[in-house]
Formats: sequence, structure tokens, C-alpha cells
Amino acid sequence: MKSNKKGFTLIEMVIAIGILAVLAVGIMRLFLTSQVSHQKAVDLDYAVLETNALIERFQDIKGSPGNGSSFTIYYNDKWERTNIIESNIQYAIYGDLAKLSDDKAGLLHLDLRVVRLKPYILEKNGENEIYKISVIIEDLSYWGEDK
Amino acid sequence: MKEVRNNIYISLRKENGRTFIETLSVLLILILLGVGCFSLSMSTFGAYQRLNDSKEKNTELRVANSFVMNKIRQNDIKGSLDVKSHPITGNNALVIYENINGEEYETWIFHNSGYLMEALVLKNEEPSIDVSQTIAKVDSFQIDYNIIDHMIFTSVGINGIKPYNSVIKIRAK
Repeated sequence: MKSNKKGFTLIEMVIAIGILAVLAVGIMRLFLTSQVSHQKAVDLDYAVLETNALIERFQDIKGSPGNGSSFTIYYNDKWERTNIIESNIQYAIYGDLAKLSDDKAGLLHLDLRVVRLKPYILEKNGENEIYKISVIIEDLSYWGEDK
Repeated sequence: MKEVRNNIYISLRKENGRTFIETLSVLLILILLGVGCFSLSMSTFGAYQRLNDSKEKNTELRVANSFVMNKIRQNDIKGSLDVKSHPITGNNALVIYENINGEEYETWIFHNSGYLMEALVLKNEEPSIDVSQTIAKVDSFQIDYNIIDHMIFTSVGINGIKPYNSVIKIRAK
């Protein structure tokens, strides 16, 4: 008896579409992961640039803080400086400046920590640390500007 | 009796074939599958291209910024660095003065026609485009020297993304 069943049945089509959907989800996830890793690389670039600029500006510091001082600088999603009132704060640089020690007068310890306040896509962590650096800088009021 | 048998035969023959609505449904599902495959491949291609473009732009900026920063740091010697207007492009350029084997040379780092360029010429010689070599493909390059604070501000940019801005304090005064 010759079979007349040529072509696809509905079940076969549903299975094919299901496989396609699974593949599509896999590919989308792959791209999202790639996008996130690229975003992390870009964030690291800007974090390094911003912290380096801060360190360079702190080379001009005159007068050390009493018992140490802390500061926070906020940035929006385009790495532009913003204030705490704005809602689109995405990044922050936390800084601590303190005397290195009493016997090492004229030297200051600067700690900088760059964080992303909002999580990356597919990630749950609220605050991601992007970059951290500690440097020792000179207090020009101790050494004199033309040392 | 013969008529009944004929009717059953006709009915059986009908069940073996397909109705118009069945054919149409299969065609619709096939079209859906085709459109799905096409749009998936197109969006994947688009996403890949956008991601790759963005990565390439950032790489160019990274190279350009790193090049300028390293040049400034390597030549942070008294009287070696200056920011001057380029005689051909008219834009600010970084000038490095060097003495190589008793000869005075100038290295010009400047922006021209979408490229960051470098030219090594004898002192007081014009840093023409012909003797320059390309460093990176960037849309803009700005450099300023604050003589009072001894700081050099640089900015390299490519259209569509935030420029890489840097500040560097000159140690040699």
C-alpha cells in the first residue's frame, strides 16, 4: 500500500518552531553576555580615566585633612558627572583621603573605589565594583610647591 | 447495497487527502517559520555588527589615548613638552622636543582627516602630512596645556560614544 503522507504534520512543525525558539533564546543570551562583557570593558576604561584624572588633580593638594576625609562623585549612565538628586545615577567613585601616618608627615593616602550602582543585564548584584586603586600623594603645604 | 459501498469508498478517499484549510494552515506555519528564521538571522547579524562596531571604536580610542598619555609621560622632562597650533591643520598639537645624536628633532602629534597622526621632523621643519604616520582612527583630538597648574588636558573622541578625557600633571617644571 502506498502512503500518501508527504510534507510535515502539525506536531513536526511545532517541534521545529520549538527548536528554533530554543536556539533563538540561546543566541540572544550569547549576545547579551557579549554585550555585558563589552559594557564592563568600557566601564573599566572610563573608571581608570576618571580615577587617573582625580589622582593627577590631587597632586596639587595643599593641606592635609584632619582625621581623614571622604568624598563621593556620582556619574550618570554616560559617565557624565551628576549630583545625588538626579535619578539616573549609574556610577560612583568613593574616595578616602588621610594622612599616611604621623611619622611620615607630608604624605597622604588616597583610596579610590569605582562602583556601578545598578546591576548589569542578566546579573543580580546591586553594586558592582569596577576598579579600585590606592596611591600615596604628597601634601604640597608640607613640601612646598617648588620642592 | 452497492450505493452504500460507493459512498463509503468516496468518504475514505476524502479522508486520505487534504482539505484546503489544512494546506493553508501548513503554508502559514511554514511562512511563520521562514519569517522567524529570517528575522532571527537579520537581528543576530545587526546585533553582532553593532557590538563589533562599538568594540572597534573603543579599541581605537583606547589606543589613541594610551599613545598620547605614554608620549607625555615618557617625555616629561623640562622643556621637552609643548602644545602648539599645527601649521597645516590649525588645531592644537602636542610637540615633543628631542635631541637625537646631537640633532634637534620635533615630534608632532596631531589630528588630521579622521586620524591621529605623528610626525618626526627636524627642528623648525614643517610637519607635513606626507611625513606623518597614522596612529589611530579617531574623529577628534583636543589638547590644552595649562601652564599655571602644569596640567595637560587631552580628549580623543569618535562620533557616537563619549570621548576619552584625560588629565596629566607635568612633573618637570
